[in-house]
Amino acid sequence: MMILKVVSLEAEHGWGIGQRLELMSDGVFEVNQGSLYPALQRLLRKGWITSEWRTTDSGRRARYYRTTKRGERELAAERDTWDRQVRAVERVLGWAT
Amino acid sequence: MSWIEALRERLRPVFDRERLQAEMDEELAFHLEREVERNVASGMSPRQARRAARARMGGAIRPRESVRRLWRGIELGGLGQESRLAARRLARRPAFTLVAVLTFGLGIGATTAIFSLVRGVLIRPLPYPDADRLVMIWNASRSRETWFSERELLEYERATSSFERLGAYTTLDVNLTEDAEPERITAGALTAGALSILGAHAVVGRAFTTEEDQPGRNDVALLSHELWQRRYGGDPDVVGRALTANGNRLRVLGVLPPDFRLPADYRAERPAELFVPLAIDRTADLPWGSRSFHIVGRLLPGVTPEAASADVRAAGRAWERAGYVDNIDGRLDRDAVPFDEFLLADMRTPLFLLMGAVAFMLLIACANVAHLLLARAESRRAEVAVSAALGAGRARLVRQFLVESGLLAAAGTALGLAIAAIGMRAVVAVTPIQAIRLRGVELDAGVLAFAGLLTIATTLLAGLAPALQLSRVDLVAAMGGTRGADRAGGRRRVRRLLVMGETALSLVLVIGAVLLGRSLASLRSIDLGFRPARVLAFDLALPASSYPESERVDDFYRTLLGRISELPGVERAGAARLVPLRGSIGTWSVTLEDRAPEPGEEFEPAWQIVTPGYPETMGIERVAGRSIESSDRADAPLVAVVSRTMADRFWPGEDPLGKRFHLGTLDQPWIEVVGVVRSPRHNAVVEDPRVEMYIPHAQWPVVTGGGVQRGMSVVVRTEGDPLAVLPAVRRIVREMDASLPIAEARRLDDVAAEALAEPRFTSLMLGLFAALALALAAIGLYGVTSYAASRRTNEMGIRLALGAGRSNVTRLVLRDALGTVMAGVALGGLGALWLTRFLAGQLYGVSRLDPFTFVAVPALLLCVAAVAAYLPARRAARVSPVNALRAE
Repeated sequence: MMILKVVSLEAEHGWGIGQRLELMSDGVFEVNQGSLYPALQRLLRKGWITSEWRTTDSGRRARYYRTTKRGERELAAERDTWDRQVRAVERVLGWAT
Repeated sequence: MSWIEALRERLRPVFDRERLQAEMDEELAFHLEREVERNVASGMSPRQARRAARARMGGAIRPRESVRRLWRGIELGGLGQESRLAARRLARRPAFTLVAVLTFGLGIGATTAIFSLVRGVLIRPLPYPDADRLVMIWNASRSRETWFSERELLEYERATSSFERLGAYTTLDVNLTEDAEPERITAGALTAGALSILGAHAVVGRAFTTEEDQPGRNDVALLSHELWQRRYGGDPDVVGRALTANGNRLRVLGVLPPDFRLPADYRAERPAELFVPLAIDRTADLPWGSRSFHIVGRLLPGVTPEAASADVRAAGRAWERAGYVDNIDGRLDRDAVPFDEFLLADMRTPLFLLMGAVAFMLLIACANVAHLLLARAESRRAEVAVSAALGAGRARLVRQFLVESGLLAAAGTALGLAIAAIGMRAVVAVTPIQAIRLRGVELDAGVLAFAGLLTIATTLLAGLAPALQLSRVDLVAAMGGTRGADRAGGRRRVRRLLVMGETALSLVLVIGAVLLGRSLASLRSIDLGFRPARVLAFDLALPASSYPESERVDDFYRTLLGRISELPGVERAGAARLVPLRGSIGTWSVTLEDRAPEPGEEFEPAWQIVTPGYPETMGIERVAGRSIESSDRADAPLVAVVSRTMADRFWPGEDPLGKRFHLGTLDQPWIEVVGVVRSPRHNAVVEDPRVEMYIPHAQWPVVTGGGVQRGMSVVVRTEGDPLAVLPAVRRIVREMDASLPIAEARRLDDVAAEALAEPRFTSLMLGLFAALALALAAIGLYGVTSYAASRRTNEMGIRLALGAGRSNVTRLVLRDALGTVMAGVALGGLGALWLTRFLAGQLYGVSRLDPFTFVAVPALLLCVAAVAAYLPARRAARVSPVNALRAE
C-alpha cells in the first residue's frame, strides 16, 4: 500500500521509491531493497501500477512506475480499511488505558 | 492500464522472457548505481559504497531470484515434472488406471471410427474434378426419376446458359463374349461430354472424345481398372484388342483409373465396368419422349445450383408451352442437384444418428472417468490438504488433476485409435452401404486431429470436476480425519449429477436402439407378396446377333424352362423381366376400354413380362381367374394377369375379369384381363404393394408393336438348397448356347435379406453403442454406490449397533442410489421424447413415441440400476458394527 501511495503522487523509479518510503515514514521503515522489486512486479501483474522507461535528470535510462486508475481505487479502498482498523485498534487501546 | 494490457503483462514471462530479464537487469543496475552515488556523496570510498549498496539489496542475486520465482508461477516449464509425477501416481494404481484408460479408449475409439466414416462419406469431396460444380439434372423430382431423352440433352445445351458442359449417360447390361469365359456385366454409355465432366483420364491408352461419340465411329470401349485386371490380367498391351459386347465388335481404347465410377454407381449393386460412347445423331429429328438417360453438367464458375435449376426449369416450361413435352397436372419438375446431395442424401441421417450415439457414449465414458478420479481424489484429500497448507496455489492443484486426467485421456486416445482402426475395417467389411465400401475410410491427418481434440475435451470434462472440487478443500476438516469428509454435501451432489446424466444419456440411447430394433422386426414381418424361400434366381440376356427373331427368343426360354423343370429337386421354373427387390420396375401408361382417367388419376401399372409358371414359382398367390398358360402364344388372344391393387384401382367395385385395356394412348391391340394375383412389393420392402400387370412373354412384341424382351430373370423353386441345382442349370444353359453367361445367380432369400441390410446395419450399430453405454452407466452407478456406501461405513455401523435391521440399511443405500437414477430416467425420458424426432424417418411400423419402448426401456434401466446398486448396498449391510466403528 505504501508503494502505491508513493507512485500515486508522482511517477518514480525503483530506487527513488525506496528513498521516498524511507523519507515518508520518517526513517521508521528501512525498506528492504531486496523485496522492493518483487513487490513492484506483483503490483504490475495485478494491474495496479504501470511502468515505462524514461530518461532521468542525469540522462540515464530508468524504469518509472506510476499508479493506474485501478490502482488509485485500490489505494482508496485499502486506505478505508486501514483507517477502520486503526480506529478500531485505537478504541480498544483507548479503552484499555 | 486496460485489462488487455494487464493480461499482456501477466503473460510476458511466458512469451517475452528474455526482454523482461534484460529490463530487470538494467533496472537493478540503475538502482545499484544510484545507491553507490548516494553512498559516495555521504563520504564513502567507491569500493565501500558499492559493497554497502549490494548488502542493502541483499546481494546482487537475490532480488533477481525472487522476481524470477514470481514469474515461474505462470510459465509452463513445470509441466514435464508434473507429468512425471502424475504418471508415477497412476502406475501405483494399475487397476484404476486400466479401467480409466479402457473406458476412455472405448469412448474415443467409437467416436473416432464413426467420425472417420462421416468424414470419408459425407465430408470428403467426391473424386471428380471440381466436384462442387457438378450437378445432375432431374426430371420429375417428386418421384425422383432422373431419366431424360437424347433430344432433351441437345435442347438443354441450346437453351441454358448455366453450364460449362452437359453430358448424358445411361447403363445397360451386356454379355461379354470372346476369348475368355462369357460374362455378363454392367456397361455405361456416355457422351464424350459426360466423360469429360466426370474427369475420366485413361491410365492406359486414352479416353474417347467427341470424335468417337458419333454414330458409325463409336465402336470403341474403355475398361474399368477392375475389369482390366480380372479379364485381361492387367495386360498393358490391351489397347486395340477386340471384344464383343452384346454381339457388337468393339476395340479397346484405354483403361480408366481404379476409383472412376459413374455417379449413380455409388449406390448401385454392380458398378459399370465397361464404358462405351453414347452416340447421338445430332442431325436427326430425335423424339422428345424416349427417356432413358441421366444428364450431368458442370456449372460455369460462380453459377449456383439454384440458378441452374431456375435455368433448366425455364427451358422446360418453354418446351411445355411449345407442346414438345407433356406436363400432366404440372407434375413434371426439373432441378439441377449437386452430386453429393444426390448421392449422399440417404446416408446423412443414419450416419449422423450414429455420430450422435457415439457422442453420448463418449460423454458417459467421461462421466465414468470423472467418477473414478473423484473417488481417487477423495482418498488423496489429506495429501492435497497438506500441499495446500504448505502453500500450493489453487491453480497448481487444478493443474495437477488436469495433468492426470490428460495422461489418462492420452493413453485412452492411443488405445482408442487402435480400436477405431480395427472397428473401421470391420465396418467397411460388413456394411451394406455402398458409399462406405467404395469411398473407403482411413485414419488420416483430419481424423487424427479430431482424436486430438477429443483428448483435450475429455481431459477437461473428466478432470475439471475433481480438480475444482478438491482445490476448494477445507483444510481443517481434511487433515482432521475422515469423518469431516462426509459433511461436504457438494462432492456428493456432483457425483449424483454425473450418475443422473449418465442414466439419462444411456436411456436415450437404449430407447433409440430399441425403436430401431422394433422397426427392423416389423420390416422383417412384412408380407412381401411372394415367398423367397427355396428360390434360385439368375439373369440371362439373349443377344440380338444370334437370336434375331422374337420367336427364337421365346423358344429358347420355353425350352430352357422345360429342361430346368425336369431336373431332380426342382419343383417349378419361370422367368420374368425383373424379379422383385432386384431392381426398380418402371411403369407403362395404359388405356382402359370402359373408363377414362379422372382428373389427377393415372393408369400407369408397373409392367412385368412373364413366362408361364412365373407366378407359381415365386409363390405369388392367385386371387381370381387363371394364370399365364403356355397356350398364351403370340398368335393366341392377348391376355394379362393383373395385381389385385390394379383391379381395385382401375375397376373399383367391378369384376376385373374380362375387362380390356391396351398399352399407351395410341391405337394398340386390346388385352383381356384373365386373372388376378396378390400384389408383391417390388422395388423396396417398405413400398406399398404395386399396381402391376403381367403380360405373357410371347405376346409382348404383339402388345407393344416393338421388340421381344431378350433379358429375363429366371427363377427356380427347389426342394432343397437352391444353389445345389445351380451346376445342373449351368450345364443346361451351356449345352443350349455356350456363349451365354449366367449373371447374378443367387438365392432369392439372400436378395430379400439384402434389401433390409441397411436398416439392419444401422440398428446393429446403434444397438452396440447403446449396450456399451448401458454397461458403462451400470459400472458408473455401481462405482458410485459402492463408494458412497463405503464412505458411510461407520454411519451404518452406528445404525446397526443401535438396532437397525440389515434390510433397513440395504434399503437406505438402495434408496439413495435409485433416487438419483429415477431422476436420470425422468430426464432421459424427456430427452428421448424430443430426440427421437430425428429417428422418425428411419422407423417403420413403430411410432417414435412407441409406448412399449417408453415403458420397457426405463423399466429395464431401473432393473440394471437396482442390481448395480444392490451389490454394494448388501455389502454395506453386512458390515460388522464393531469393525465399522473401529475403522473410525
